[in-house]
Amino acid sequence: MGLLVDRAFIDAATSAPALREMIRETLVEALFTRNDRVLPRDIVAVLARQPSITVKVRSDTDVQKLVRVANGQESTISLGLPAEDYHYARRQLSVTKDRDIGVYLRPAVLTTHPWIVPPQGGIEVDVRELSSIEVDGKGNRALVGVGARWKAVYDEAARAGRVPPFFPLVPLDYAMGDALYGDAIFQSYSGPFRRYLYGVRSFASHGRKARIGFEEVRDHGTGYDALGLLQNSFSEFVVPVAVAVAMAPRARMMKNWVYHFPDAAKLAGALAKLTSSARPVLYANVYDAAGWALVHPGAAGGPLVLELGVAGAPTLVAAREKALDALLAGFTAKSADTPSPYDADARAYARTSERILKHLFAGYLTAPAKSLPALLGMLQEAGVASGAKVALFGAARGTGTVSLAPAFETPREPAKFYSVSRRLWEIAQKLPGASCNSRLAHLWSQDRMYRARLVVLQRLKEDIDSARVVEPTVPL
Amino acid sequence: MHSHDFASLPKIALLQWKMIPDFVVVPKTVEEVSRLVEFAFEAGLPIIPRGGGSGLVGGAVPNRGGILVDMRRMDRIGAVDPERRLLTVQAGRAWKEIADFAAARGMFLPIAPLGAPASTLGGWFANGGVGIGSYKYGDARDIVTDMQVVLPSGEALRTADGTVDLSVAFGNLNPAFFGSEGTIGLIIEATLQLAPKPEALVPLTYSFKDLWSAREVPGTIAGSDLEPYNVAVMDPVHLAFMRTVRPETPDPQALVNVSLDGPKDEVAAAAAELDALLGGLGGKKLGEDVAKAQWDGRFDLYPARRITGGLVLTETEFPTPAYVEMLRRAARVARRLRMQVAVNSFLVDRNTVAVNPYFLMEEDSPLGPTALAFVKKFGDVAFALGGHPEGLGLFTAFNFPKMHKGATGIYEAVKTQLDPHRKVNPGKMTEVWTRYDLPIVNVIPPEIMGFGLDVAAFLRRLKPTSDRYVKIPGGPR
Repeated sequence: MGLLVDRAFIDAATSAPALREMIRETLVEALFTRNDRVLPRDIVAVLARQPSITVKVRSDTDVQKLVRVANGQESTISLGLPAEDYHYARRQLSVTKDRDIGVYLRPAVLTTHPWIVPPQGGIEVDVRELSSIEVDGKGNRALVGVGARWKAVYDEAARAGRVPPFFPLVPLDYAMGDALYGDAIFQSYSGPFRRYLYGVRSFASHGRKARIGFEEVRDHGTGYDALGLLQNSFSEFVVPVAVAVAMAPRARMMKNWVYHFPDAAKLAGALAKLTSSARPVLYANVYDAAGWALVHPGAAGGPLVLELGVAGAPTLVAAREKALDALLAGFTAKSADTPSPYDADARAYARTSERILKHLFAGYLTAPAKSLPALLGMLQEAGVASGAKVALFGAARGTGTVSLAPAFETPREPAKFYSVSRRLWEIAQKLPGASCNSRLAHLWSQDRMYRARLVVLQRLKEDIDSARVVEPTVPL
Repeated sequence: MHSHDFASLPKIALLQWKMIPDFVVVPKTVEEVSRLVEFAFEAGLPIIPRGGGSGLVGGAVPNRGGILVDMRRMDRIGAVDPERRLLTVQAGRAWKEIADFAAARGMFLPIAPLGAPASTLGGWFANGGVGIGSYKYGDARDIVTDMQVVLPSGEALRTADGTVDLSVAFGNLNPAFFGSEGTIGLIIEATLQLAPKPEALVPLTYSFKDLWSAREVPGTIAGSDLEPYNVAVMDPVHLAFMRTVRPETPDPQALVNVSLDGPKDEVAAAAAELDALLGGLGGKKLGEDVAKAQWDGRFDLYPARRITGGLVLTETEFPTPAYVEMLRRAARVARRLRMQVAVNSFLVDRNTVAVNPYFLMEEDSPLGPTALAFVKKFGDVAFALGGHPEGLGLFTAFNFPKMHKGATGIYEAVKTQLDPHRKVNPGKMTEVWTRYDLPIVNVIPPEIMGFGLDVAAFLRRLKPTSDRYVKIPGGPR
């Protein structure tokens, strides 16, 4: 998602040692808000570039051809375009011959912010039609195109008697590829998305198929964990076209239980007990009243809501319900008949997604569950300071942490993105054990070790993308 | 002692590799490791990190001499955070001790290697980190928040921000070191995210007449909505091997060992469900004493080495739906190579069965080492059925191009960028060096190595007699 490119660009732009500390923050802000009055002219010229062409691909072969055109192995004639489009493509791409022709993937849903350095000429690939979903009838896995929506995977799996064991942190209409090169966070109560990711079909910059990981089994003892290493930034190393992910059998009984809490202290206490109990749940979603109303319009909700997905044999689920009720003591009401947000029909789910996407998301905050009262207090302050109401979405993990995606009811303007991102970053610095992940957070991190790790990733990118095709780094 | 790992190898291998290190160093601090790496670079010597030496593919064995770094003295347990269930441990600590330490403080190490008493933290991570408990809790990489490593440059690096939820982290280098087999740096310490101690951990054992009768077990459990802690299917040949050295071992039969963990009420309900499930497949539930003995012996599966002095264990992963076909083909390969092989299996997740066949080998008999051909042939079965062999190291690195095909360059890039001068555990995993630093003979192409094992298989088939070390009731399989 351009994280490495952005970082390299900003590091290069602020490389003058005497000015580094003074101008870096100003430059980050100006880059983010595209304040051309502050930015040097050569940087403005770079940022003003647009993708030369946008190509809608329908198959893996289309993607391969594009990569091979970009790296010079094939001419544009191999694109098989109609004459008019062909001449257009040739003209557009030939304009960029003086620099790299990059291939760029754009996430289907991007909650936070597009990359700072936009596609520099080259080819923007529209992968929406790479949306095939093959759920394995014998095993518990699926092979899914990067353009397929998570919700479509969920529905297709249900038809095959399966369920994806990972859920979006915010109930948005993400595509599967968004977890590889966007800011979609999929996870379950018991594990991160990587646990359910078997392999990624992709094309490397030299135009060959590169299947990273495997498609039917895990990848233990097969060398470095390349899947884990590239996760979150796949499209800066290769061009992914499909993912192989784990599925779970649909349990004999699946329940969605909703607990309403009067305040953050009671919810934090309940989460601490839940995550110390070893009681298995599929998901443990957290909402405030505003977030709840966006996902379940019309359903009653308390100030804070915990939504648990529970699955298993009927005897086990019955035992678990009583135990969970006892563990979560402090709730003021419980609802056992609110449908799971994931079981809504596809159109309703998409409408919910659209409602939520009108808000501004600047990043994710993760903190120990016991910090929830302090965290919520700080988020309310951030909302007041930015003059916006805040709606909260989040989920707890069995590790004892809770991740929150605060949604600000304010226009999605770059200046707001910047100021809210900065506030979230500051909140994470104040809370022990907390972290902030946002488009900007990693630009602010000046930790020596973090910088050393990024240097390693940058070198890896240069090696893996030696043809300089996959979101090539932009020279200043 | 430092010139081999758990795998048995014929003496002839010494013609190919200089497996005896020039120096063995036992560092105690990260500064010592850094200085050592810098010194090795200056002296032009390869540096080979080593933990408990329980690997199977020569990952911790020199191939061209050099400095072997025995990490077992770096075994300190550092920061303990019971509230967040975080534990920081140095690389040389054995997993059994880490588990015991955590348990004594009310925490639970959710996964552990099969060789936990000897296997060290760094060694297991470098070999992929899958083991007992993976079915329910995932891999070791899922429970590591941060590591400290020494890179081939001598620089100490933290691989992640320990406060970060790794599912959303950017700039996290932890994954590079999982499965790295010590080829890109030395793991110094790691912070582990432990689980709450379960109220109950109950082992159960079910008996089946033979392995074929238990063939539906992995698929049935994986297709159910139960989530056991661990599932293992033990071959009657394994029990026969065990019985030779441990007379108290049950009679040869296929055993399905399942353990359940969690709150007491849920464990009891799951046990009842499991009884019905496996009973329906013809399994007979054995007594608690047998189940407990199986559980207690989970880290001690290979004492049969004493029968011949040589034992070869190979690890593979198969798709769960291919388990039945795997059994057929494993029997066919063993029959053709005239060998007696114990095919034990463990469910790693719903789609993945770790199949770990092992056999005895007479290293000193003329045709004894030809038994190594099984490793190649069974690995080929794994590829053919959608799985793969586990571990590359020195001895099975010939599988590397077959494993990753068009993506090999991505894996090679990790080595090239982190160790550009090929100083840390060089000539393994992505390539195989010989002991000779001369053109042409300095590396062994993967095809040649594979061909050598195919020749061994051919010789094996000419052998007039089969290797049979134990009798299995009901005749040969």
